[in-house]
Amino acid sequence: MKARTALLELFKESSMWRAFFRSCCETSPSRLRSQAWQFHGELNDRGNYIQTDEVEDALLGLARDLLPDTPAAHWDAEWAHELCKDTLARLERAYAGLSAEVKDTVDLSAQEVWDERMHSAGLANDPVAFRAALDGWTRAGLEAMEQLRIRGGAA
Amino acid sequence: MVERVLSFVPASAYYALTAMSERTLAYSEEPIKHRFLVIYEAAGISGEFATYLMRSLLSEGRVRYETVEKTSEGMKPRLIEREGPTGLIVTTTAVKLHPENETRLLSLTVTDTQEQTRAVMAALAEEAGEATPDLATWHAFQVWLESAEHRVWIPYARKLADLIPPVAVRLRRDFGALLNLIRAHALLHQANRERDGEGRIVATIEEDYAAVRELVVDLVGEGVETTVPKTVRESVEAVKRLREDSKGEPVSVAELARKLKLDRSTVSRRARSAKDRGYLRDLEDNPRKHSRLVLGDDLPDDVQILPTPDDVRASVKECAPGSARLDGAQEPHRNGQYSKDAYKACSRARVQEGIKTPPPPSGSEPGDIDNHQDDIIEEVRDLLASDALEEV
Repeated sequence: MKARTALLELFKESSMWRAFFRSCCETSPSRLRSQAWQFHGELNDRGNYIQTDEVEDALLGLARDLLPDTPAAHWDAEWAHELCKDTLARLERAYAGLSAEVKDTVDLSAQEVWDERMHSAGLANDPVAFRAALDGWTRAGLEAMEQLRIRGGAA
Repeated sequence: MVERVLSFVPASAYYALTAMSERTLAYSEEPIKHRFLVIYEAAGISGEFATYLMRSLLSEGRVRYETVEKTSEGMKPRLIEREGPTGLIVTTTAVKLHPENETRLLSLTVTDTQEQTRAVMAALAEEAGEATPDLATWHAFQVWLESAEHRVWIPYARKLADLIPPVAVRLRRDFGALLNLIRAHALLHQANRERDGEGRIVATIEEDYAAVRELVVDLVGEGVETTVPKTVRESVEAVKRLREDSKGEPVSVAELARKLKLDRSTVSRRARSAKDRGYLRDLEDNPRKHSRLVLGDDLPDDVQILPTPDDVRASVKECAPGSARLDGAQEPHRNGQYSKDAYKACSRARVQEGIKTPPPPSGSEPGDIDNHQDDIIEEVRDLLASDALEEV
């Protein structure tokens, strides 16, 4: 069962979890994200083995659909910033592993299409699409550098 | 052996005794919370009351004992509370311990073969010429663990419970012990484990369950009698062969010892263990006379009660189709190759063949969400709205 469906089933069944979801949404998006583990644990106890990231994404998506006027339904720039910071650090490490000769030849054009998707996801207030686009962007960057490394350009 | 194991932890981690009186556990002022009580001979735990207090401590994690004391104001009740949790390590030469205590323990039998005796002597000889090992690092690790993370999450615990056949009541305790051992293993290796959203250590199937299973699979099987200890099986089979050779004559311990090439006391213990389990019978009732062993119940085929790590993994995967593995390990590729290696191999092949990284799919959005829940969304939206009205 997908995280979104599992959460909807949980909210349908339990007023306590609905109330908790609402209180998180009314506080802030970071509150909802930080409490995702509790929803994750409950789904797990009910036999829905879903990754925490998926639960977090589904909660943010449901906040937009079910409680659109709450703070958790708004775009969270701080969260996006943290995600991008981690990704850039990964790319930086991969880049540092390349030899000086090939560093200038790294072709990151494959990232452009994902870059556009990230931008669109941000405008559409869609954190799930943003995270997926960022994953694609990261993968494209790492693959571009991996190709150079395989050709013998490792430092 | 116990002394050597204990040398790896600081003295504050255990409380060792060679014997204790019946009410020591109640009256002693030595702290026992988060410590192991070590009794070097089970016979040193004197009396039923001591074994009862021990059971309480092991099961409930504390002892509450109310007694009456003589004071200047006359006889007054006094409640003694000893806080656990406390572990117990006890050694014995007996074949069995108190049955009620034994179900709360995992019994390790010392290997009694000639090869093991030779290996022990060789180790002692080598040790005599070696400098004392530096155990400071191990002690420091133990101290570090005191303030490290203690919470462990076993994502596959439920599946494990489903996979173990509930063939004996004893398993209720043994399963708890199994989970505790998995937690302990993950806790010790916490620097190499992932954390969940709550910061708990995530126990893995590949490292934690597999390691613990290897250590206790026989013990658990023997405890619930779905497997027979190797020593007992060997002894019963030796009796069977001896009886065939002697055309059905009962077998003495001395004959069995010669057959197994072991000393008489070892074989005597093995025979007692086999008799307790019903696989051998002694036709001689008089304990002062030589045993006359014959076969008892048929030896059963061993049935391993604990599922293999592969079984657990497969079961977890059935439960979480398409999701990442719960044990944090890599997903093996269909051809046996690991996904990370397969990814590298594919990257390499693309480079060699001049294939460029494909653009993202245009038809479907990345992270496409499940759009088949319109009805349920409406229902939950209504419920949230009515909750809000009720609050008002």
